[in-house]
Amino acid sequence: MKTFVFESLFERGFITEKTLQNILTKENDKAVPLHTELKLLMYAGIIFLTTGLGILIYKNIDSIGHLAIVIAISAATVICFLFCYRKAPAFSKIKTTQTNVIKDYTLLLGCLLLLVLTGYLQFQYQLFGERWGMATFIPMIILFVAAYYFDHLGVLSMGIVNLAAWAGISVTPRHLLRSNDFNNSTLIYTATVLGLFLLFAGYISLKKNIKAHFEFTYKNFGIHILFIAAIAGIIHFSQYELLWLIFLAGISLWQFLIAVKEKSFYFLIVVYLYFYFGVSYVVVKWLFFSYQGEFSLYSLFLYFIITAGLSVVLLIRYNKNLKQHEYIQ
Amino acid sequence: MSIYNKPELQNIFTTKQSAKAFTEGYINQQQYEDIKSNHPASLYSPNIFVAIGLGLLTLLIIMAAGGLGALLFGSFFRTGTLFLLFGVLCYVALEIMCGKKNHKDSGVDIVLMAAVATCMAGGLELFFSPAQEDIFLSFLLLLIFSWFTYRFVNVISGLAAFLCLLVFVFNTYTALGEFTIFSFPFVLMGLTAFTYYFSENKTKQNSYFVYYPIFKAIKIASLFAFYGAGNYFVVESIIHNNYLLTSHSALSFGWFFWLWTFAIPIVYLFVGISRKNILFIRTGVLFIAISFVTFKYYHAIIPIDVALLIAGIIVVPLSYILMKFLKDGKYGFVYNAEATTSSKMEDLEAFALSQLAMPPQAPDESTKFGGGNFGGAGSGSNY
Repeated sequence: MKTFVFESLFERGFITEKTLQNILTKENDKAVPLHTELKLLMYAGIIFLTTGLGILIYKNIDSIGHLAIVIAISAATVICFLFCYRKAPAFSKIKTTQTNVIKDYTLLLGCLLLLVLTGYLQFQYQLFGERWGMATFIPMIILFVAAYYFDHLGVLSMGIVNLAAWAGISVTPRHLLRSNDFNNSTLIYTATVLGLFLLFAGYISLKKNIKAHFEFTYKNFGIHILFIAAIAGIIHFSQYELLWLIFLAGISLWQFLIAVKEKSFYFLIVVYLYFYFGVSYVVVKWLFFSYQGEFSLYSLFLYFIITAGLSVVLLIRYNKNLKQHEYIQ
Repeated sequence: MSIYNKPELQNIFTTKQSAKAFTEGYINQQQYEDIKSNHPASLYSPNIFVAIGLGLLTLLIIMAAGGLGALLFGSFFRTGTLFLLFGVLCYVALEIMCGKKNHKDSGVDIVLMAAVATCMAGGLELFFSPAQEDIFLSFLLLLIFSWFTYRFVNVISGLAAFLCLLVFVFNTYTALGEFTIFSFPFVLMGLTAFTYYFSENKTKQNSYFVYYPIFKAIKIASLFAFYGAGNYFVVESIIHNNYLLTSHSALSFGWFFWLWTFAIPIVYLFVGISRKNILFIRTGVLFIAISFVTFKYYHAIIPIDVALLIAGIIVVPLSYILMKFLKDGKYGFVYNAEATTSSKMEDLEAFALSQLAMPPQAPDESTKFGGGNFGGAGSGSNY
C-alpha cells in the first residue's frame, strides 16, 4: 500500500490518526504472505510425482510386472483415501469451514492415482471387457462421492470431466474443441442434454443449498458444453438450421437474464459472444449463398461493423448498469 | 499530456488503495464507502471478462472497416497510403473513446492501439522501404508505444514499448558488425539492469503515482529479461537463429552463461528472502526450475521420469514443511490456508484441475495396429 495516500486521507479527515498510525506501523513489519506460492509449489510437486510415476511404469512395464504395479498403485490409492477419511470432518451439506491442506492434496493425489489405476486395469486386463463406459463410470461415481464427502471443488470438476467422458465427450479445456467430432449427430444431442443437466445440477445445488459453492463449477461446464453443442447443431443440421438458431436464441435469452439478475459479467459476456457467433454464422452463410460477387462482401463488412458496434454499446450499457450496484470491484 | 485528468486518476488510485486497506482490515466499511463516494471517477474500466469481450468485438469492427475501406478506396490509393489513412482513423477513434467516452483499459482502447501501431508501422514501412527495416520498425514501434503509454497510461503498451526498446537496441548493436556476437548479451544485461533500477526508482516516487502500474510492470519484465539475457539456451538460440550474425559462430564464454543460468535464480531467491521481496522470491523459484530445464535440454544425465520423480519427492515434502513451518508466521513470512479461500480463485483452481483428469477412453479404430500396410515407403494413401 502507498502510505502517502493515507497521509492525505488523514489530512482531509477521512481517517483517524490512530488508523493512519496503524497503517504506517503495520505496513513496515507486515509478514509477507506466501499462500499462493506454496500452493502452486505443492501442485507442481504432485504433478511431477504422478507424471514421473506414469512414465516410469510405462517404461519399465516388462521388468516390474503388471501385477506388482497394480498392487502398488491400488495400495497407494487406498492409503490416500483412508488418510482423507480419517482426517475429514463429518459430511455436511454446506461448505466445510475447516481447511486441512494436506488432506486436500492427498485426496487430489488419490483421485489422480485412481484414474491411472482404472485406465491401467482396462488397457492391460480389459477389466470391463468391451464395455468401455464402465471404465469411466466407476471412477466417475467415486470422484463425485469424494467431491461431496470431502468437499473438494477440484475433484468435482474431475468428476464432471469423467461424466462427460462417460457420455462420450472430451470437456477438458484443452480438448473441448480439438478432440470432439462435432459432425456427429449423437454427440451434439448428448452434449445438449449434458449441458442442460449440468445447469440443472448447479441450480439444484444452489436452490436446495447442498454444497451451494459447487454451483459455479457445474454452471461453467454446463454453459460452455450447451452453447458449443447449439452452435454445432446450427452448423451440422443445415436443414434444421432455423430450429437450432431459435434454440440458441432461447437459451441465450434465458442465461443472459440470469446473468443480469446475478450480476455476473463473466456469464453475460460468454453467453452474448456465443449467441453473436451463432447468429453471425447463419448471416454470413446466407449472404454468401444468396448473393454473388462484391455485394455479399460489402454487406458482410457492413453487417459486422453495425452489429459489432451495437453489441459494444449494449454490453457497455449493461455493464455500467450492473456496476452501479456493485460493492467492491 | 495524458488524456485523462490527474485529479480523476488520483481519485481512482485513492479508492483502489482504500479498497485494499478495507480488505486488510485497516478501515471499516463505513470509512471505505465514505472515501469512495468522495472520490468520484467517471472513467470506464470494466473487469477482465468484459474487457476481453469488448476487445474481440472491436477487433471485428476494425477488420470489417479495414476490409470495407480496401474495397471502396483500394483502386484510388497505394497500399501504404491506405494503411496510413486507416491508422489515422483508428487513432482518431482511440482519442474519442478515451477522451470523450472516458474508456480506460476497457479492451476497446488496447485493440485500437494495436491497430494504430500495426497500420502506422506497416504503412510507413511500405512508404519508405528502408534499407535496415528491422531497426526502422523497432524504433518506430518504440516511439508509437511510448507515446501511447504516456498519453493513455496503459500497462500493455508500456510493456510493448519495453519489448521494442530491447529489440531496437539488439538490432542496432548487432548491425555494427560480427564482433557483436560475443558481447550482445552483456549489452542487453546492462540495458535491463538500467530499466529495472529506473522503474524501481520511479515506483518509489509519489509524484509518478499515475504511472505506478506501468513502472511496476516494466520492473517485473526487466527482471525476466535480465535473466533471459544470460540464460544459456536463450543466448545460444539467438546466435543460431539470427540472420544478422554468422550462423556458425560458436558460443564464447559458455561457462559464463551456464554460471548465469544457475547463479542468478539463487541470487534472486536470496535477495527476495533477505529483503522480504515477494517479486524476487517468485522469479527466483521460477528461474530455478527453468535453469534445471535448460540443463536437461543439453545434458541428459538422468531420464525424464526419474528427474520428475526426484523433483516431486523434493518439492512435495518441502512445500508441506514450509506450509506447516510458516503457519503462524516466521522470519517475516506467513502461510495462512484460510486466506487463500477467495471463492473466485477456488473456482478458477477447480477449472484448472479438471485439465488433469484424463479418463480412459475407448481406443480409436484408426490407432489400432493394422496388418502392416506401411510397406511401399508411404507411397500408398492409407499409411
